[in-house]
Amino acid sequence: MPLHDRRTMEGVYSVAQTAQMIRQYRYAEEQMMRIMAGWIALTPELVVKLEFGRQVWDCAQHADILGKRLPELRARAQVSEPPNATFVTFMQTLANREQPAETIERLVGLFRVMQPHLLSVYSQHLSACNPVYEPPTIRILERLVRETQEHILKGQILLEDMACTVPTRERAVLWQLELEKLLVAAGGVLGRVEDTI
Amino acid sequence: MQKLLALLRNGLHRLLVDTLQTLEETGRTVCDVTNTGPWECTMDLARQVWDTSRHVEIFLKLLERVEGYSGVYLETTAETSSAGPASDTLAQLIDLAQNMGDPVIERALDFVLADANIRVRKDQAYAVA
Repeated sequence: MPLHDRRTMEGVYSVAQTAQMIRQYRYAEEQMMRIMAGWIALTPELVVKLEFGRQVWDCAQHADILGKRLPELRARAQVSEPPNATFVTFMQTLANREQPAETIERLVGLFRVMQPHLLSVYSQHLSACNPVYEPPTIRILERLVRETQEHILKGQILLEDMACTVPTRERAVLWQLELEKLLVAAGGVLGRVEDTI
Repeated sequence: MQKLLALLRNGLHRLLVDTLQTLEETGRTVCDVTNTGPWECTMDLARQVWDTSRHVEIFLKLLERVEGYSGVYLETTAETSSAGPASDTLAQLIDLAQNMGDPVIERALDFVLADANIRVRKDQAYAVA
């Protein structure tokens, strides 16, 4: 039986739309890099401090590969763009938990809210990419999905250890709820439908 | 032998404390310095954050090996703006490990020294630029 290429040429996103999404992903990754880097000095727990140190470099690399893809999509290299002002507020709210005793809130913000959201958006984008003309984007998204999954798992392990009592678990859930409300109001990393009009 | 072990433990602890301080300072720089330098500079700093967090882990593991732990000595933090002094200390500790016949410590510290040398070269390149 002769080999037959069954891949189709249908696609979901245009070049311009893909560039915009990549700038928004880059904004999220760059912000996470800076937030975690700043938290290193404010976090007393050594094991969490060192995990932030590792993930700072991962997020920097994510921002870098996303930024390098932009010129291939007729856009300026290494540019980040938030989807809207509400998303900026969401990121600032997440970042503002800077007290030494707020490590649980820091972990929740990153590993229960931000990174799971990104994982879901990256995975959705990946499944919508055309395998014939979007392999460069696919390769980047595959890496982001794989490494974000690893980050979430490591963060979850730390959180399980730190929030191991009923009051701390309650604190974690309440903070997650507050952040989720802001994230939903922003429409996530890609913004609301009206942001793109 | 016990004297060499104590010297090694003391040196590793000093390095641990200094490296932790560098980790926190570099992290703060990545966080605070936005849109003022080229992206490559931020990437270099982010890489330094990862390197120093790895070095902290290495020093902690090696301290365990020489029957020490974080906090075994009272240390005061000092100005740590370049990898120069750390390189000297690393080289001395590698010599000590060689004298003690401990290839594990010797090799681990040599990897840290290799990172420190790269850091010095990058710092020098930025200073020239």
